[in-house]
Amino acid sequence: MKCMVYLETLGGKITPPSAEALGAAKQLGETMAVISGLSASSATGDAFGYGATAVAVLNTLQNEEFVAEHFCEAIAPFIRDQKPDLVLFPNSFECRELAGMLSVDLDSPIATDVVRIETRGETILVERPIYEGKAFEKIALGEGIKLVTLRARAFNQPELSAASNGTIFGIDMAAKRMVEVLAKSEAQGGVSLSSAKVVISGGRGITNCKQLAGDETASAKRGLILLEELAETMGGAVAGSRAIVDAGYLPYSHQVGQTGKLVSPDVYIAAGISGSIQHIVGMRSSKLIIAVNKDPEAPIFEVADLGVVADLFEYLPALNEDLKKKLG
Amino acid sequence: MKIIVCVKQVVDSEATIHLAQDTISWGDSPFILNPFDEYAVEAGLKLKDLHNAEVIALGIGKPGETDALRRALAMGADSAMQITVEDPSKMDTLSAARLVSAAIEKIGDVQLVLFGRQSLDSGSGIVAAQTARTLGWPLLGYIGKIDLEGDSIMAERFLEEKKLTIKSHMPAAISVVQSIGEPRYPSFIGIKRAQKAEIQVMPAAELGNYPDGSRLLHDSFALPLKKTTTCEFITGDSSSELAEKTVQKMMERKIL
Ligand SMILES: Cc1cc2nc3c(=O)[nH]c(=O)nc-3n(C[C@H](O)[C@H](O)[C@H](O)COP(=O)(O)OP(=O)(O)OC[C@H]3O[C@@H](n4cnc5c(N)ncnc54)[C@H](O)[C@@H]3O)c2cc1C
Repeated sequence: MKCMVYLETLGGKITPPSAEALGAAKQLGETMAVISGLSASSATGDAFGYGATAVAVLNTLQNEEFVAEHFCEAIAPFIRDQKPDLVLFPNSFECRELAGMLSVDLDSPIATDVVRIETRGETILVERPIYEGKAFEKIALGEGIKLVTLRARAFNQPELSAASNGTIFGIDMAAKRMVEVLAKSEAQGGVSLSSAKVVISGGRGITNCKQLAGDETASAKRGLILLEELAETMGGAVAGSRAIVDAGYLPYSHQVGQTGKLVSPDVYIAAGISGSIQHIVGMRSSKLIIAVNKDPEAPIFEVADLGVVADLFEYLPALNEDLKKKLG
Repeated sequence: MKIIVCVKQVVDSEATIHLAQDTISWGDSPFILNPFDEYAVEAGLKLKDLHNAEVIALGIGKPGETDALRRALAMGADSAMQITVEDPSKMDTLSAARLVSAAIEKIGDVQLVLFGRQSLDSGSGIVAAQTARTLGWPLLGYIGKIDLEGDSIMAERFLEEKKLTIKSHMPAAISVVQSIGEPRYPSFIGIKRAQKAEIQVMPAAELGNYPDGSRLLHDSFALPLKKTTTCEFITGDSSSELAEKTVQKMMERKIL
């Protein structure tokens, strides 16, 4: 099978979900990588290292931001030329837009958020969650160049080998511009939520600190600091329930759940989160769920592996101290 | 100005899914307007308030399945239209986008088509991009703020790690996220009006694009593996003891 994989880069490095997509493609056959991003060309070595047999670099203009139409205009003819059987993408917002547009140009079967790929003879089957992960559907992809986006952390990241060269192509951008990017503000560093190995998540409980009786804002400030400190110690990302996002304590991009993000880290710590169904659908596939809540009856304990009935304002600092000791 | 808001009817997220003989059912759970689409309706109504726009809710579904459209009407949409298909299960996202595009061309003189960021049931999250591309319109994706001036659109785009201010022009397709603001509740009068409203029907066959069941072929459904472990409660007399035991458990599981 002839595969192609679309890689996103950040600061000249291939993002973890992109590396996972490259690993998945390699299992299926010879793989060409298409690299995008502000300093895409510095990632060619790693693309070969992860197992690509050829690499194409998207020649965007300096500082050119992703716009789906513009990238689609450039990449669609390249895909038509190369005629891969299958193109894999990470499941980022940007890639879903790009893959969606490519499916129109190529009249392709497309499946997003895929968690498993298998082959049956010549047929490619993919499995993807439906009804917010309450069920899975296996689908056979029909005729044409198949487009598939992969859920972050559903596939293993391949080893990075020493191989660092091979054939390099360039893909030129088309001239047409439909959307202009006027300004951008980047999140303050930190680890990307969807690909984080550890997620420290806070709920309305963080607005309820005994010592600050009644002062929600001051409580939330202190609570957020506790989440951030723990995230830093564990190398994780901070997230929250809708309750604290709606109250304005965390940006929407950090909301976990039905109308927020789906995450599946190795460890998910839920602090002061009651465990509504809309929250649980966003985090239940995490490998280890630790819940801390004052209320022993909170539904979050039904999905947790480890439960701690405590006041988070006392427990989280203690946990952070102990971890710092043990992790040196 | 005509604004189309695409809405989908989905089963309520509180519903319990049953699977038997490779058929999914959910008891007698009600159908609701896809919660992501509520934000798109809200975005349309905000523009209506500001620019005197006409807001048309557009759905695809089986004849008679009009709960989501009526909810959009109750919230304040001016009218509702349904593209009817006999077997929606045969419809992949590309068929949906082509049907929506054909309907928009038939309606004529549409300046904006709004979408939620994904559906609750299939969760594909690509129909907005596919529709934009099919129509040849610019896509403004994951938008939390829309400002119109003449033909130009300024919008805020919310991605995972960054926020962008982008500019484009009408006609355009926009997918809307939560930052647009809480969807309004229907008024009593709105609900009454929605119950009686006539929903205009466009059979898919008349739009020249039958749902094409050949690109994606259903193989089978499965339920997620049940979690076999029950919650292990950590006990202790002090926070530090609780913390220490938690770390121990993490180490036993080779998580650290
Ligand atoms: C259409 C729709 C979509 C939704 N989408 C989402 C979504 O994407 N994500 C989401 O999270 N929610 C979503 N919700 C909202 C959801 O239903 C809940 O309202 C929300 O998740 C509750 O957040 P919470 O658990 O933080 O707050 P609460 O339910 O108020 O729980 C707070 C918890 O903190 C505990 N607590 C209080 N003080 C302390 C303390 N000092 N120490 C320890 N524990 C303490 C309490 O015992 C309680 O269990 C959605 C709802 C709807 C209707």
